[in-house]
Formats: sequence, structure tokens, C-alpha cells
Amino acid sequence: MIDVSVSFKRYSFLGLEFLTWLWWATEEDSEQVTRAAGEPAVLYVGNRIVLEKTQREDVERVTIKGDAAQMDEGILALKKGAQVRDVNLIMEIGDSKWAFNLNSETMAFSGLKTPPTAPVRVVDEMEGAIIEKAAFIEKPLTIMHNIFKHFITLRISPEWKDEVLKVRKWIMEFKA
Amino acid sequence: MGLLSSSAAVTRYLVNGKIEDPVLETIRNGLEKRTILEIGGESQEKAVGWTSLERPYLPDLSGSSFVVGPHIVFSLRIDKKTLPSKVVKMQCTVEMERRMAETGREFLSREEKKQIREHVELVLLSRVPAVPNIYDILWNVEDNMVWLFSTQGAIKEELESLFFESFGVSLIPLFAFTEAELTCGLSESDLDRLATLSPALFVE
Repeated sequence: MIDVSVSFKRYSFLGLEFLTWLWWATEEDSEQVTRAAGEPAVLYVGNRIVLEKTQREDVERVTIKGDAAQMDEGILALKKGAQVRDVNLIMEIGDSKWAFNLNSETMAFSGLKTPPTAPVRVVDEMEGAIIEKAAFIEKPLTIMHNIFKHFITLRISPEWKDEVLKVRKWIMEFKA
Repeated sequence: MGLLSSSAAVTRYLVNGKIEDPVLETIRNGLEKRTILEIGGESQEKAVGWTSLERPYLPDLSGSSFVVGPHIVFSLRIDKKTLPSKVVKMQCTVEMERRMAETGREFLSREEKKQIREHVELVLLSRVPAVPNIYDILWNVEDNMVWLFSTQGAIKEELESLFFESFGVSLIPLFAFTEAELTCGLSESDLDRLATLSPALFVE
């Protein structure tokens, strides 16, 4: 096992590539995402995306907030060589909806909103509330892990070259 | 931003090692051994320890109150006294002026200034109440996974250190590489390929 602090820096590109690939996959190959999720989940980019471009020692970041039309700005940043650092994702399974931000560096979740749970009125209801909430939180964590596992299997396979070409085509042929 | 709040932040860890059998007793002992204690000494700035999610201000981690369904659920509590920098500066200035007036000198040595600052901070620390902050933790023993309901770097460091001191096993943060290396079931040859990856170019 490689030292954690060493691998955190040396392989930071993996997180950036994962989120960039995921954006492409949700837009252009949603069937692949659903298959990888292992559940009939629909995943799409929400209202915020942060892109990052590293050039020598300098890091340029662009934050885009708003609806899908404004996300075009993000693809223009990809065209200039940026990759996705943070993304707000929406996940739907049937009538249930989750929203969360995923960070490429730490793969941590923030702003995680789950489907509504019943309020806790008395202490006796606490245990049930914890179990219900934990199950709701576990759902996007498990699904994102499944999708990441699919990505990493692809990333180390010979098929990755073709996948890169597809993402590149999407970026380069995009017209605002 | 805790487990039950409407908007949560989650950092994921893999437990690196095996908890001694009987597992629940080892966990209970670890929690009890490092249950948070109220700040004792007047000059103490910070206290860090475990508490219960249900009663974070009156911690009771005895019995099996921390077992909730298939999970182990408890909280990390950090009580911290923070001195307002402007108050420290003002008190130091007043004290230094008083010292110079008393001794008839026009300046104080660096050592004297340092002593005055330390004294002022000590006096202020005894008056300022500690502010408690609670960060929930959910531990799935079967999967060896721990979720910390925070993404702050300083909180992660406190958890990693206290967890090792309490249970004798370390926590490995799951970011892209560690998640791939440790949780994706990759074979030896896959791991070799993973280790030799270099960045992809999505644009030419």
C-alpha cells in the first residue's frame, strides 16, 4: 500500500478525471451510469460546478452556478483544459430525490440532502430516525461508490483510450 | 451538519485493522476511556473526546446506547476556548503601559512582553467559556467503514488521532486513489496498472 499522503498528491488527477468523465457520462451516456450505479438511479449535474486548470504551479478555478444553459460556460472551460473539481449532483430513484456536492480531491460529500424523514418528537423515536436517515445517506454513497468502481475498472483497462476519445469529442464539438 | 440535519457533510474512512474481540466491548471501552471531560484547568484551551449523539452535553456511553440497528453511532465533541485577538491586544497594551509607568522605563524587553502576553492569556482563558462543537460519527463495523459528518481538515485530524488512541486501529481517508486501491476489489495486476497511471488528456 502506497503511503496515504504520497498517494493523495500523486494521484489527485484521478478524482478530477472521475468527475469530468462523470459529467460527460451523465450527459451523453446515461445508460452506462445507471448500469454502473447498480440501481435504476438517474444522475445529473445540478446547479453548481467548479472547474480547475493547473498550469505549472498556478491553479485557475472557475465556479459556475445556475441552470443548464449557464453550464455551457463549464464546457468552454473544459475546452481550455480545465477539469471538474467540485460538482453538485442530483440523484433520483423513482419519486425520491437526493442532492449533494462531490469534491474530486477528498471524494467527500457536502450539502447532502436526502428525501424527507419524519421529525423526531420524543427521544424514543430517535433510534428509528437514525436508522432511517442513515439508510437515506448510505444510498448516494453506495451508488457513487459503484459508479466510481466502474470508472476505475475502465480507467485501468485498454478501453479507456476509446472512452477518452468520446469525452474529447463531446468537449471539442460543443458549440455554445 | 450532523447525521440528522437536513444538509449533511460526510467524509468516509476505512478502518485499517481488526477491532479486538469481543468487538462491542472493545468499542465501549474505547469510548468510555476517551469520553469528553469538562475543561478542568483554568488555562486549558481545548478538550476533545467522545460523547453520545442523543445527549452530547451529558455524555453517557455505557451499556449499548451507541448501538443503533446495524451501526455504531456516537459523536466527537471538541470544546474550545477562543480568545478575541483584539481583547488580548488591548489587555497586553494596558498591562505593558502600567509596567512601564511603574518602573519608569520607556520600553520593555522582548522577554517581559512575552511574559505579559502569557499572563494576560492565562487570566482571560480562566474567564472565557469553552464553546462545544459536535461532529457525529457512524461506524459500520461489518464493512469496516466510518463516516464523519464533517469535511473540515482540523476535525478530520482530531478524529483520526482520537480514534487510534481509543481503539488501537487507524483510519484511512477514502479519496480517489485509496478508494480504488482498497475498496474496489482490484487484483494484483489491476493494482500494478493503477499505480502506473498518468493523467489523461481530455483535450488535445
